[in-house]
Amino acid sequence: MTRPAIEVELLSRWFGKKSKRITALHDVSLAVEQGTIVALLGPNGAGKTTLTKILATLLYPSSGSARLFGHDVVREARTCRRLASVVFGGERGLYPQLTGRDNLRFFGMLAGVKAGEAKRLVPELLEQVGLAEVAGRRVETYSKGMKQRLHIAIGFIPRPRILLLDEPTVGLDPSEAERLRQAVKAARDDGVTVLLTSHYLLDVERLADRVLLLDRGALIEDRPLSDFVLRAGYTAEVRVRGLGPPPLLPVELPEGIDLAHGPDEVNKEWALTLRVARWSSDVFAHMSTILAGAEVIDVDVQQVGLEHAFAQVTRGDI
Amino acid sequence: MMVVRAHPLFLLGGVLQPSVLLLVVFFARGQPTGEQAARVATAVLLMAYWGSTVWQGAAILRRERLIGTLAHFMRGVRSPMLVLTGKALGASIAPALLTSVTVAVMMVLLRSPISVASPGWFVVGLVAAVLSGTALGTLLCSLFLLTRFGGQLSSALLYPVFLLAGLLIPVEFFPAGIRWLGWFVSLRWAQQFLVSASQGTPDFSALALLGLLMVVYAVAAVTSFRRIDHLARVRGTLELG
Repeated sequence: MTRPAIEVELLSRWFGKKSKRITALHDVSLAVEQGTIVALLGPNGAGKTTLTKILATLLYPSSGSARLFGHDVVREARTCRRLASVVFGGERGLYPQLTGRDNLRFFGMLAGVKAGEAKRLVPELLEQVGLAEVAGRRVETYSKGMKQRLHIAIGFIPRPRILLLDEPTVGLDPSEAERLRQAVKAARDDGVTVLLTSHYLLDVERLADRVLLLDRGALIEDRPLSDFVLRAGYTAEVRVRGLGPPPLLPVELPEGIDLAHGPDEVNKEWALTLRVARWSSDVFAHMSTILAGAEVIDVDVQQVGLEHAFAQVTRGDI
Repeated sequence: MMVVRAHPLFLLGGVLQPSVLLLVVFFARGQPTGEQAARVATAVLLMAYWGSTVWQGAAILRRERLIGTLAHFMRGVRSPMLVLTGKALGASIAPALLTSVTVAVMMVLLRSPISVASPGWFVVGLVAAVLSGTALGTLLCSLFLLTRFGGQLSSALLYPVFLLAGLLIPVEFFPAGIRWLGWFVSLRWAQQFLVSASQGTPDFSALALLGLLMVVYAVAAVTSFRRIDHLARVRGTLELG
């Protein structure tokens, strides 16, 4: 049996001295199989970046262990750095007075890419991230999106077996973001393991095979994406608007339908939101009964997504 | 590969500063001759070189932190110490060459060309001075990363180092109680060796002390860098982008 790409056992990390100790991670254990994309979610301060930094060998754990393909991130840091690449993104982290091409070459050298290999890879990656035409320009003249794309090229240049991506689509326009998602998917298809940290749930929905949810330093969810979406507890939200008096709702709604909001009345209009546990022909009959006599002007059905599940699990704490 | 750009500060340290220093000495003291000329030229050369390279080298890691590249630097597969040394050497060689050319041209223009009796040993002295500057730059840049006041400290240390090395005022003019401090400044031995080599009587004890100090600086640089690297990962102070 092959070893997991990422193994974390009872990992804890705290900052500061004993009297003012802040716990960023508490007894986190997880394993990520090779060739999967795993999304790391959680509200701000949940410990996502701390975990990423430990896996990137930038931080030592306070207790517990983390291994990449069986190599300990503290004792075998150099091997781990060869295996994993990290993309933190943002506007910093690049040499502003060097060109995009020189930045990529330099960071490739730091990551252990040999000169001959870099000669071939640099133009290829610049083309892949759409920076070939501006590769000779100083980075200080780049837009936020261009800098982000350069960060991504830097992450890809050592051909890592593990890619740690922190907010990879920040600053990218929709088409650039989609291009990046395709590149990440292609890397996964080549066997690269991806740990993705993002507040853009669209990235997670499009890319992730599995979702890990951290809250206050503890791992509270670890399940496939499809299972995680079911954690919302319903299939769809139906928002109904109408004119005149709102419908008189029964004290107990029929099974499979819940009232999420309302009815709220504003300027002779009313609105309510119902949650449907599972679609069936009975649901339409029940809705007709509930709304009988009311003047309905609009019905909007929204299929449940990751956002709803995330809000439900974290009780809207995002 | 990387292009050395003509940064205004680079020109200031490598051309303007040595030219002005030489003009001041010549106008204040008149035309120096023989050993005196060699002493003036090497003092100006070392001061300008030290000002523009050692202190630039000392700022490398602080600059990396400022622009957010420090994390990349510290988690590279290549040894960060090796990369840092390469950067410090790069920060030394270009200004050293520029300063040497400026001093040589200025001495000719001021009608006091230096005749170097032992050119081979003179070049050895220059190379040793550059390597020693690189080692000291690497050491200082590790130490300055520990404090927020690295910039201020490097400015505050500049002239005391020149004074202790005897580049501005001969060390004999200092009180005996502090004269010994000059023994730990490699500039002093660099100048002593360069002047002796120019006169055809290379002072090998000065060269040995210059080499010894270079090794001491280098060992201290490696030790302090390892310590900083460890502390940064324990405390979580490696700033990211």
